[in-house]
Amino acid sequence: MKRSGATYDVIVVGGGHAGCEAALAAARMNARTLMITMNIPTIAQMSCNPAIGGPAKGHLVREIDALGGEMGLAIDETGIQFRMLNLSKGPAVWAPRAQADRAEYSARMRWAVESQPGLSIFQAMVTSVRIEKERVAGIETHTGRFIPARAVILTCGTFLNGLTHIGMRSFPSGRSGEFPAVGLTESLRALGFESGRLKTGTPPRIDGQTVDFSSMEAQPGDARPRPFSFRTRAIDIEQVSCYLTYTNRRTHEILASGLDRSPLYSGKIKGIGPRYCPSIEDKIVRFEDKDRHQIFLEPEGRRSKEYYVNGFATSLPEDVQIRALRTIPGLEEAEITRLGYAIEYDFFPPTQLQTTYETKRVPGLFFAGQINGTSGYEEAAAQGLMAGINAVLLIRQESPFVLKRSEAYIGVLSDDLVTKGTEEPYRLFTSRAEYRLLLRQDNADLRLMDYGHRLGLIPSAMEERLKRKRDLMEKGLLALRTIKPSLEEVNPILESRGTAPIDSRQDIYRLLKRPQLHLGDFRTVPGVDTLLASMDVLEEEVAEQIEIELKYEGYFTRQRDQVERFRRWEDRGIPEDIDYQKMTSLSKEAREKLHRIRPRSLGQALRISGISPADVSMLSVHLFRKDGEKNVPRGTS
Amino acid sequence: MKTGNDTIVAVSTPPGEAGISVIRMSGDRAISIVERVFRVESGKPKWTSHRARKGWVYDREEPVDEVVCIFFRSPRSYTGEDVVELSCHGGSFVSRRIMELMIAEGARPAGPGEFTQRAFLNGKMDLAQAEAVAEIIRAKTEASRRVATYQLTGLLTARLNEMRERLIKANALLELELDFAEEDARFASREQLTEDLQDMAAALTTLRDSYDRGRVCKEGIRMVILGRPNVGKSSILNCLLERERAIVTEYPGTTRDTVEDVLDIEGILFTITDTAGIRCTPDPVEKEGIRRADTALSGSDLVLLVFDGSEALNADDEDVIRRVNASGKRVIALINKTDLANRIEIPALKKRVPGAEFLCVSARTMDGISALIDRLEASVLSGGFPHHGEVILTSLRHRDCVERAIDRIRFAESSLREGMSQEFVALDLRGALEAVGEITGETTDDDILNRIFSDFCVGK
Repeated sequence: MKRSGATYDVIVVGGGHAGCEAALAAARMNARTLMITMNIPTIAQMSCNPAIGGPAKGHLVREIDALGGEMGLAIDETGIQFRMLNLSKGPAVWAPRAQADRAEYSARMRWAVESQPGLSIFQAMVTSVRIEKERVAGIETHTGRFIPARAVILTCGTFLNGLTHIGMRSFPSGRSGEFPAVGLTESLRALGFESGRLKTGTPPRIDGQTVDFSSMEAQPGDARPRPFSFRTRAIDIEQVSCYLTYTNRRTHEILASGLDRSPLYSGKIKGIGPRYCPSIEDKIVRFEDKDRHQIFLEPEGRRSKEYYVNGFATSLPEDVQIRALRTIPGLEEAEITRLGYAIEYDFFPPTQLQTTYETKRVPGLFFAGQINGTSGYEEAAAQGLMAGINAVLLIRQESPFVLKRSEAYIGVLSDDLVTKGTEEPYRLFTSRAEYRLLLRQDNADLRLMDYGHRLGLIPSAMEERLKRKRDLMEKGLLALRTIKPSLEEVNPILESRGTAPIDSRQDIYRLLKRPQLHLGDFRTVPGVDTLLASMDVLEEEVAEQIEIELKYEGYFTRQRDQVERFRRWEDRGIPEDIDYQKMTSLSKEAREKLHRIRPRSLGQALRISGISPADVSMLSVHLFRKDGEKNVPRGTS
Repeated sequence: MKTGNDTIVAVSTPPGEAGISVIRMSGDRAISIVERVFRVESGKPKWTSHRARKGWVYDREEPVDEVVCIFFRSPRSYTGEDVVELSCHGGSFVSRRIMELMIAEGARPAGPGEFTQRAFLNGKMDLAQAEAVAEIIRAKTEASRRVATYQLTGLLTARLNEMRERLIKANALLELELDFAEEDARFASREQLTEDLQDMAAALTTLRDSYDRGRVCKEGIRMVILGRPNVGKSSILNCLLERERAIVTEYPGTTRDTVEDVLDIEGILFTITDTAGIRCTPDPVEKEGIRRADTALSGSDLVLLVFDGSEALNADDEDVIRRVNASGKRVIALINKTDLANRIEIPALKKRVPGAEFLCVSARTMDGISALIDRLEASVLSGGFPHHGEVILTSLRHRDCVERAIDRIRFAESSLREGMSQEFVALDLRGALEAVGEITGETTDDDILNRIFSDFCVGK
C-alpha cells in the first residue's frame, strides 16, 4: 500500500455513495487512487431511508451498473425486499426498488472499496484543496499533511459546515451523531467558488418491538424479485415486508401545536429544502385540507429491530415528535430510537461545473454528489462514477466521457445540473427525461454497456453476452415478420389468451402487437420454436426486448424523430474560449447567462432558462464570425 | 413530425404590394415539393443548379401564377441545403397562396432566422455575410414583434397562456402518477382528462380557423365584380367608391382590363376588382381581359356577381354562373337596373346560384347601394370576420404551431382511449405544450414539476 510520500493520480474526498463509485471507477481504470474519509466505518452509509431505486432512481442504478459501477451489485446482495414499481404502466416507467439491509449494504460496499487493487483508504478530514500553477495539486488534511494528486474529486455530502436542527436546538454535525467537515468550504470560497445552503431532513426511527404491526397493512416484496445488476443472475432470498399506515387529524393537531418551536417555521433554518420531500410539518401547513398522510415503516435490516418512519421527516422538538407519532394506528406504544432532524449544509451551485463534473475554475478539481446540490444515493453514485471516469480520462489526456440526454438518465442529470443549476436539493424524475420512452431500465445495457466496456469497467465476457443479445434481437425481429402460421395453429392460441381470432394469415410480428400476447405464447409454432431455442439462456431478456420494441413501435418512432430533430443542435459545439461580453447584439441578460454557464453546444445553450431561440441564432452567427473558420468544433458529447 | 432535416419555406420579401415576391424553400425535400406545384412548358423541369426556369405554379390543375424558379443544389446554396427560390408576382396574396401549396406538400413554415440558422449550422456563413445576417435576424425579430403587437390587444398571448396552463396541468396529473407512484396523491381520472383534451382541441381548432379571418384583418378582403358584359359592373364599382373610377359607357365590353381600387368598410380593407365582362368573343384583347377576370376570381375572397335585371338570362350569364359556382367562392348576387322593368326570373336564378345572397340595386339611381354596403359591413361583423375583442391568428407560422398542437392532442386522446399508460399520453401532451410554447416563446422544462409541487402533497 502506498502511503505518505506517494503521489496519487486521483484523490477522492468522501466515502459516501458518490465517493465509492468515483474511487472504484478510477482504480479500475488503473489510476492510483486514494479515498479519504472522515470515518471509515461509515463508508457507503445510507443516511436517509434504507432503500435504493424507485422511478428514475432505479433507472440510474441500472445505468450505473451497465457502465461498470458497483451500486447495483451491492443492493442485489444486501437487499431484503425487492419490488418492480409501476408494473401496471408501460415499460419505460417500470422502476426497480429495494429495501436494503442498511448495515450490510455499507459493509458490502466497504468490502468492495477495501479489496479493490490500486485503491487506498485514509481516514482524515480534508481542510483545503491546494492549487499550483492554476491547477489542482492535492489536498491538505486537518493534521496539516499535504497529499499531492493529479486530480481531486470532492464528494463531501452534507458534511460541509453541517448543522443539525431538532426543535430549537442546533449543533454542528455531518450526519446524525457524526462530525461536520469544517474549513473546506472556506478554502473553496477563497479559490473563488460560490457556495449556497440547502436543507434536508429525516424522520425518526423507532423500535420495532414497540410497534403493533397487526393494525397496519403489510407490503410484501415481489414474488419473483428482479435484480438491479445485469451481472446478477437471480435473487433467491426470503424477503421482509414494509408496513403502511396513516396520520390523522389528531396527529396534525399535535404537530401544529409544536410549530412555534419549529426551526423551519421560526426562520432558524435558512437553507432551502426539497419540495418533493417535505417534512411532515410542511405537509400539514401547506395541505391543510388533507385529513391524512401516508406513512411507511421500512425495516432497517435483518439484524436490527429498528424501523425507519418514511413520510414523517421532521425537525420538530423531541416531545412533539413522540406525541404525534403515538397518535398513528399501530404506533400507540412506539418508542423512538433516533430522533428526526433537519440538516443544513453547504453546496456549490453546479453551474460552476463542466458536464464532466470538473470545475470550470480549477482544472483537475471535480465535484460529485450532494456537494452539487443533489439529493439521493443514486444521483450521487451516478455523479461519482462519471467524475471518477473523467478524472482518469483527464489525466490520460483523452477525450472526456459525457452522456447525452437522449442516451441516459445520467445524461439528463449531468446536463440539468450544469445547465440549469438548482435552487433546491435536486432529484431526478422520469419526467425530467424528455426521451423517457427510449431510456428504459430494461435496455440500460443496450444503451450503455459498450461504453462501460470501452472504458475498461465492463469485462469482455459481459460485452460478448451483450453482443449476442443484440444479435438475437435483430434476427428475431426480422424473423417474426416472415413467420405466418396457419389459422388452425394460431387461433387456438389467440383464443386461449382472450384475444380475437383472425380470419386471414398474419405474421407473428403483427400479432405480437396485441397487448395480451407474448412471444412465448407461440412456442409451438414452427419457426418460433427454433427462434426461441436459439436464444437459450437469453430467451427471457431477448423476448422482452423484442416485445417492447414492436408493441410500442409507433411511439418509439415519434420519440426517435424528436431525438433526431434535436441532434443537430446538440452536435454543434461552442468553443471553450468564446467571449460573450463582446457580443453586443445579444441582450445583456443573455450575455451574462451564457458567460456563467458556458454551454458546450448550441443545444445546451437553448436549454438555459431565459435564453431564447433568437439568442441562439444570434450566437451561432457570432460564433462563426469569431472563429472565421468553416468547421466549428463538434460538441464533446 | 418531420425528421431533423425537415424542409422549411417562407416568403423572403417584405409583405405588401411589390413588383415581385420571393418564396424560399430549403431542405432535403425542396425539389420534390416544388416539383409537385411547379411546371415548365416542356413538362417536368430539369434541375440544373443556379439556373433560372420560367414556368407556372399550379394548384392541382388551376394555374396560380407565372414564376421564375431558381434551384441551388446543396451545398452551393444559402443554407447549404437544397434551396429553391420562386419569384412570383408581388403582393401578399399570391406569395401566401404559393407558400400554402408548399406546406400542403410537406414543407413547414420557417421560424424567424431559421434559414440563417441552417446556413450557420451547415458552415455556409462567411465573415462578410455574418455581419449583414445579424442585421437580418434582428429585423425579423422586430417584424415578429410587430406582428405580436398587431394581435389586437395581446388577447392571443393570454389565450395561448391559458391553453399552456391547461396543458401543464394535464401533464402534471399524468406525471404525478408516474413519478410518485408509491404515494397517496389524487390522480387523474381518464374520463375527465379525455374531456379536457377534447375541450382543448376544440378551443385550438377555433383558434386555428381564425387564421383565415386573421389574414383578412391583416391583408383585407379581395372582392371581385363579375358578370357578362354591360350588366353594370363598372357602374357598381363607381357607386361603391362614390366616384367615377371606371369608364362607363352603354357599349358592352368597355372594360377591357381589370380595374382595381380599395374601399374601407368598418376598418377592413376591401380591394375591389372590376373585371371585363365575360362572353364568348374572338377579340384577342377582350379575351385577355376575360382571362384576367378569371385570375381575379380565383384570387378573390368574395364575388359580387352582377346580373342585368332588365333582361332575361342568356348564355353568357350561364357561362359566368358556371365559372363562379366552380370557384366555390362566397357570392353576393346583385340584380342591377331595378330602375327598369324586371325581366329576370329571380326564384329560378336563386336556384342556379346556391348559397349566394341576393340583392336588387340600381347603379343609376343608387337604389340598394347602401343596402349592399350594409351587407358587406354585416359580413365583416358577423359573417365570420373578426370583431373587436376576438382572438385571432394572423401568422401562418402560428397557425402551423396550433395545427401541430391539435394533432398531438388528438394522438394523446387516442392513447387514452386505447388505455395506454400515462407516459405514452404524456409524450404527445408534451408535444402539444411545445407547439404552443413555440408561439409564446416560453420554455416548458420545469413547469410541469413546479405544478406538481404546488398542487399536490407528495414526498414520503
